Amino acid sequence: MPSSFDERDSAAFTPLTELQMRDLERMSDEEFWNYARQRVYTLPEAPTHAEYLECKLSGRTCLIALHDLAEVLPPPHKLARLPEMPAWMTGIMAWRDETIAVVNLDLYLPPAPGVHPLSTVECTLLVAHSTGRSVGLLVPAIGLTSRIEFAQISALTDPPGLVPTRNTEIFDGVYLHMPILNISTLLAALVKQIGWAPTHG
Amino acid sequence: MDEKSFSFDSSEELSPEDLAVIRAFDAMDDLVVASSSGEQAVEIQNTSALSSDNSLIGVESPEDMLILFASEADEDIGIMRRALSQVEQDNSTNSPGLVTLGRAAHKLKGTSGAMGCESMSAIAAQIEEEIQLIKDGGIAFLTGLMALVHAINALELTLQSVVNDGKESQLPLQELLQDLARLKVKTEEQHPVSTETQENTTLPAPNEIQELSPVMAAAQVDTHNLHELISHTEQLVELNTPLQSAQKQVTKSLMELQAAHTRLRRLEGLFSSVVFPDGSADQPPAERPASSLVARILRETFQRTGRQPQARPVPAQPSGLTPEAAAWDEMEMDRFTEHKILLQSFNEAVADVATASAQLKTAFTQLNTLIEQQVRQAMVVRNDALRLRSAPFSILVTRVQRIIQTLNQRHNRAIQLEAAGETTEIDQDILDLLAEPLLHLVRISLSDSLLSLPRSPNQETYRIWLQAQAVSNEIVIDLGFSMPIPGGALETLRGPVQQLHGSVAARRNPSGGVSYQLRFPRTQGVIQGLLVQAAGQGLVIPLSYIDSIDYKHQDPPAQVYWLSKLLGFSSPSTSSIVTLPPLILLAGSHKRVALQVDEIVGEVELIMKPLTEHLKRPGIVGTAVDGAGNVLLIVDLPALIQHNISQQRNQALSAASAGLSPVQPAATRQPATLLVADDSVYMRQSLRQTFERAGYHVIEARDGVEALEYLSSDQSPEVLLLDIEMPNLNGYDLLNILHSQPGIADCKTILLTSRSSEKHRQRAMELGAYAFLGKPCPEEVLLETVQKALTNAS
Repeated sequence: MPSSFDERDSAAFTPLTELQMRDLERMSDEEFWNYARQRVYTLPEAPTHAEYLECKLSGRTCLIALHDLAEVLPPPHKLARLPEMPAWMTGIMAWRDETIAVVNLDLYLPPAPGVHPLSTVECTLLVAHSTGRSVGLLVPAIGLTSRIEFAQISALTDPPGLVPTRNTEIFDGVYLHMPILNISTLLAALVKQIGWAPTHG
Repeated sequence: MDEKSFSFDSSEELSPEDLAVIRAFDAMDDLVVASSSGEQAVEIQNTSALSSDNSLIGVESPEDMLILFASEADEDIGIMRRALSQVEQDNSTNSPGLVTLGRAAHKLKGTSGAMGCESMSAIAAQIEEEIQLIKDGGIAFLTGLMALVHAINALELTLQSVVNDGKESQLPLQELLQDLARLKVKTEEQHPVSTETQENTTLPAPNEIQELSPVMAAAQVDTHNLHELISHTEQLVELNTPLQSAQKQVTKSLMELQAAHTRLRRLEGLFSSVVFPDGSADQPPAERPASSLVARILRETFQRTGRQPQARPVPAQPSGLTPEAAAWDEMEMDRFTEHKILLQSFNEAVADVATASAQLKTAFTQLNTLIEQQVRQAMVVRNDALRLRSAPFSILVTRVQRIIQTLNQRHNRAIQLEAAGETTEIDQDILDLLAEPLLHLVRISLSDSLLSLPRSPNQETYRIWLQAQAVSNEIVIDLGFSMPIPGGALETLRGPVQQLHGSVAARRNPSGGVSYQLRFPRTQGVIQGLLVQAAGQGLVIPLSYIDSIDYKHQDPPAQVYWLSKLLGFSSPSTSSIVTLPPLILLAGSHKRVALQVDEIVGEVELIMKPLTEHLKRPGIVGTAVDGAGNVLLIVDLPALIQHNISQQRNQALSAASAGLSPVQPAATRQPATLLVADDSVYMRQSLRQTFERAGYHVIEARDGVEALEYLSSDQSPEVLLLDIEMPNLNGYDLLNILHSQPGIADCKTILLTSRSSEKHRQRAMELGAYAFLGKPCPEEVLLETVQKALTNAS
């Protein structure tokens, strides 16, 4: 699965078509270097869309960009507990030669008053990865993937009260009443809070 | 208050304590009067030997206290003179003699201040200041030496006036200030002497730290590649556990197959007896096979032979025939053949299973052999890879040897080094962090001791022993001195020990010196431990933390910790536990401390991995993965227990400050025991008198090691009054031990020191001190602080 970095950079190095390849072969050295310079100075086209996965939480659904997910798998039979974990952290598990924290996303993003968190007995584990950090996110269920144009994503204030105000920085925006998680910011916040738990409770 | 104008009209109004104070003042007056007789000097001379004797309990009169003080101050001045001579010889600001000189001056400053000899205290403080100036380059080296000579002379003259006149003369101090002014030495501003700067100025000389590493062929290796290699080999070793787990599973399946085979053999006999009852072997079979297995055998026989092995119906017995005649049937041979075929097929199937089982067993034996070879080879590869980042202990031994040679030449002494375990491979991480502090410790300790100890005609040979060994997952380094050494060793080693998650223990050795034991866990690699269950979770306790296992609960330990509670996991209900699992007795603890777990699973050998920064927790050194892919936490028991104690202490303090804990009146308790740890005989006696008058029971310790021995014994006191500057183990060293090793003592520690700067106060409080008092301390403050400590302890 390509990371966001790979995807952005690949735009700058769009592969040549077969026709272009043939043209290259016919070029003189001067023509070739002119063409190369032109390609170098051509600004890459910014992506206009991305694929998102629906994560069904208690009473709401949020979206996570697929390129932020390293793996989707059933949760392990048993998670090891760590002393002094935050209440929303379920435990730790071994994943690809490293030990990662597993967080119950439904508890971390508290539902609206009156809505009880869903059981995570038959939940799904999403291993999110960003800037060298990997964290397991437990969600009660996942839905479909959707291709969303960035232009269709609206600001968090629309509609107001959709996401908890204290956590606004971990959202990129809202698409069809579904908040979109900014995984990079979310993981940074999770890692910080897990690290602080022994001293700050 | 003007003490001289203080008088009482009637002695009936006085309490016994007041009367004791008045008697003490009267005795002081008598001493002043008698001092002119010239007998005093003789008396002091005679008692100078007493000061080194520890049998001074009962010395209470002011005369005796003065004699003690004078004798001790005389010794300190002697040490200063020898140290100054050393500095002159070294002709360097890095001379260890400066450290010794500073230490003696500091001690004298505190003692004379407590005695009320302000002039001597000021001169000693001036010496400390001059040393600092010399080290900082604030004055020229030679000028500094001259200033020190003047100061020591002034100190000696002042002491002489105390001894001869019973009061100190101000003249030597005034003359000293004039001398210093002529030398342009700063005298007004105080420069606090810090242990850090002392350490910095005694960094090893280049010629001393030159390594004599054995000549060996070496190749440059990229660090990244090395780490990759180690990582891959560890992954290879990590596969051993699931491989062995799968091996166990196959063994289990094979045993089940063999059991099934045995059952089948038994069924074969039963089947035969059913088909051929009473040995007649021609009982007609039922129309429908009784079992699916028989039906299958019959069907397979039919497929193989093309003949339906269906039994004929038994014909009705013709009337009039004898039973024997009726039993005979000309077609019985056919039925017999069908039964035989069935039985034979069954036999063949059983034999096939037996053959397959035997072949599988042979193949599995070969596989087992190969797996064991693979596991062994993986360990060999991993050890080879780890060796790339380790070095033999001999590297450190060689450097220590070099230092000793240098000191032997300089002091014309014969210190011997007894080394062992030179071939022990030690992680480069440990060596890198430990080498310099350890060498610094050896250099300073020896220099200071050689200067402080008088040279006797029958010159004693001092010994140092240094040895290393790998025990389980730990590197254990023992360092011992046959003679007393200055305190502060643990403070020097504290940084690297903490960084390496190690521990230090100290004890007095049979030679009268002090021995340190340093233990460092290997941060990565194979760990041998005990797999236990606590609150439904698997945890590994390294074997090096375990002394033994008590299966019968016969000898109750001093302290029992539940592992689940230490970890903050839901603790089990003790009422629901019918039989308590065995107790794990911890190693390295001064008292019998045990750990209670829910279940002891068994001994394991796993690859340990460090936790990433945000997952690190006090008392958890890393994780391992078992054969089933479960994460197991690896527990650093001393750190976990210490963390738990700190938390409880903080909670108790919070509760007390919130007024939640009821304060018991001190009067309802037995007289409390106080331990006074100070290297000054005068200070110990003075404090003993103060506290005994207030009704406390007082015990004394000459240094940190002796205090540690008391704390580890049954005489453990309620309050410890602790000086900082002491030989062998200083106050910080002892606090470090009390802080890092749980269960030694449950007492409040009050620092009583002349090092009264905020930095020292902060350091002491960080290490768990209850209070910090400066010397000299008013008696009422001292008593009030002790009373508060006892009240809080209750």
